Amino acid sequence: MDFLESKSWIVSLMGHGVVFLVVSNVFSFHSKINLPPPQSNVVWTSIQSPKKTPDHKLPPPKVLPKVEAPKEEPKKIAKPDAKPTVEKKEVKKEEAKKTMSREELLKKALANLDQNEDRPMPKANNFSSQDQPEDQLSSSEIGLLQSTSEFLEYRRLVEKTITSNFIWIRQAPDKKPVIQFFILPNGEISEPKLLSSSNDESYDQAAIRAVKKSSPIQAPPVSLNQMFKQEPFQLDFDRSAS
Amino acid sequence: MKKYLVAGLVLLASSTLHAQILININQSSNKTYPLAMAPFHAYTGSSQKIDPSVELFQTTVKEDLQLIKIFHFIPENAFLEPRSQSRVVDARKINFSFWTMIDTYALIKGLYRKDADVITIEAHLYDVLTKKEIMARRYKGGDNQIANMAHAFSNSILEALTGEEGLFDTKIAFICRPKNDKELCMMHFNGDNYDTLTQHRSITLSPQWSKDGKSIYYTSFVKNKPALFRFDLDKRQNTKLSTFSYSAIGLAMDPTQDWILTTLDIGKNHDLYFLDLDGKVISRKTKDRGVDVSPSFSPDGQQFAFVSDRDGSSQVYIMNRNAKDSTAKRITFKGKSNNDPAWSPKGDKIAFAGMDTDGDFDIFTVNIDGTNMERLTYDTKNNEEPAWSPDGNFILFVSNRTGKRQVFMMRADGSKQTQLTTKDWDHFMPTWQPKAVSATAKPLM
Repeated sequence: MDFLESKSWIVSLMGHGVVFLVVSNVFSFHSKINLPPPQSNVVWTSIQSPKKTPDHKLPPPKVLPKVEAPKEEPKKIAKPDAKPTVEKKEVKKEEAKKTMSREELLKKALANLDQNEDRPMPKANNFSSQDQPEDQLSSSEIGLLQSTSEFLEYRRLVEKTITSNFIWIRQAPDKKPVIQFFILPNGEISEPKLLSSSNDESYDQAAIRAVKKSSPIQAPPVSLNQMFKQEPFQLDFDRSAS
Repeated sequence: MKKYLVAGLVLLASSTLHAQILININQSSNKTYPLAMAPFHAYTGSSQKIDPSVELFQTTVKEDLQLIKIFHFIPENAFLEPRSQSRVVDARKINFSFWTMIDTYALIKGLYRKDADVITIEAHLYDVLTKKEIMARRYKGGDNQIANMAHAFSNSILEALTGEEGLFDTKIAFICRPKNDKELCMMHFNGDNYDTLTQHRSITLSPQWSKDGKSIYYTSFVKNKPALFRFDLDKRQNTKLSTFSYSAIGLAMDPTQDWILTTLDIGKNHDLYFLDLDGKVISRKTKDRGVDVSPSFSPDGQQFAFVSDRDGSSQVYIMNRNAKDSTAKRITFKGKSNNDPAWSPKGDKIAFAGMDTDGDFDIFTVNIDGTNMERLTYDTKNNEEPAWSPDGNFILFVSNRTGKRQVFMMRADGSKQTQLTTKDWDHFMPTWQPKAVSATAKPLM
């Protein structure tokens, strides 16, 4: 009873579980609330418009907006020594645990909570008591994969390819559509699906068209195949450069 | 305690939450918008041959839309729609998969009927991706109205697809020099119907459209004396309004009152003066030792931009119309020589020609507070004398990049530069007809 009344069981639970919190992508679900800078495993990027030339000297000729890589590279988390594969799942978990002491992890987790108290909680239907199938990556593994340079580079390629196929010449609607799709190991884009409409059917269709026209895209690196089969891309068409 | 509960819930969730791969697309590509225009079909009859007037209508629409370089047309030999469907204009019955397969985003189809000299054209625009009709228009008129009908339909297409008001039915006035003299000339927006309006055999300068777009004011040195003239488009008639007592250089029509602002060389100094249309001096606006030339009014007429060398080099200044002294605000600070200011119809920018380090002029824009100077042309010999389209989306200019000075058009960001004149002589000072009064064919539906 003493044990139950004290908070130590909670701390113990936290200690065991917080490893998942730190290395996995717990804050990766899509939210409209301001998200933390890209230290977390999910990297939020956007395509920047070209910077205007200062007026202190004759500026170079203005060119049409080009798809550019983000100006600021997201912070890269150190690449794991071993490639994260299904077989080495347990090894990776152990490695992640070793990187910080339990107290440090707890402190960090609580600090994260302090910073994100206004973040919506995961919905109940996101919880599952079922064991993870053997051939699926854990969220911590996905989190690690998302921090690799291979992943970041490939995601940038997807961004560029879809942008280059997105044709829109009118003012973009205020509400933007969200489109989900998968990328198969051969580069085929499968199951493009409109998750959220812009309320402008034409804009939605132009966005879906851009995704479809991008297929097949360059095949993803082998190390990412498993993740891409499992985890969908979610495309947020933000605004047109009309 | 709240923190512990939240942490517990997050931990429970952590093993099953999916990590979606988020991509944010916030701009469209630079690709042109793919359109297809099926050959129009007669309401009745099975003839495959299209009436020449309808063919002209379709060609004109194509040329209009291609001119602004934001559209391209899928070639007809790529079309997959069978002939049996060419007459179908009901969106519910059109098989749009024939058009999506060839990567069309918008489709134009049409029907026509010719009764004696009168032709009726019914033209439809469809969104291929949503499989819906966007708009339809029906025009009726004689063969001599085909071009106007086509320009009107081009305007409707542009407005429907981009939200921009079309300018395909407007005209451009400019100075041309077919021989040694400079005359007033005019052409259609797309370069068609090039017309020399005057035969003064003298130096003609500074064409300016009237507010209603029905006439063009200009100055000409007939018998070596500068005089103000007006050319009426409907009557095709020239009227001499006044002879200036002094040498007048440049001309800007006041958009709020029918006055003109020009440079007079009174007292061995070149300053800006307001004159009435009879040539009488109303008031002097600048008083300084420098040469003040090339005035251009703001859209509300309350300010004007001009060029002055009062600080040692030609730079662009702006001044309040009602300023009691001749205080002017300088807005360009770089470059040896900045000339030909043109105030945008949206009121936010001034376009001008600036001399680069290579000695050639290029077109720039600058905000009216002097910030955000942007270069629009580069490395194409001289580019000068910018003039805005009535909607502020395009800029006309003169360039000698192909040899003679020709009139070019570009989008306001410097993209999509297109040559409009091709005559083997020089052109100067283009100016765009106001939109409001340009002749438009009225659709029947």
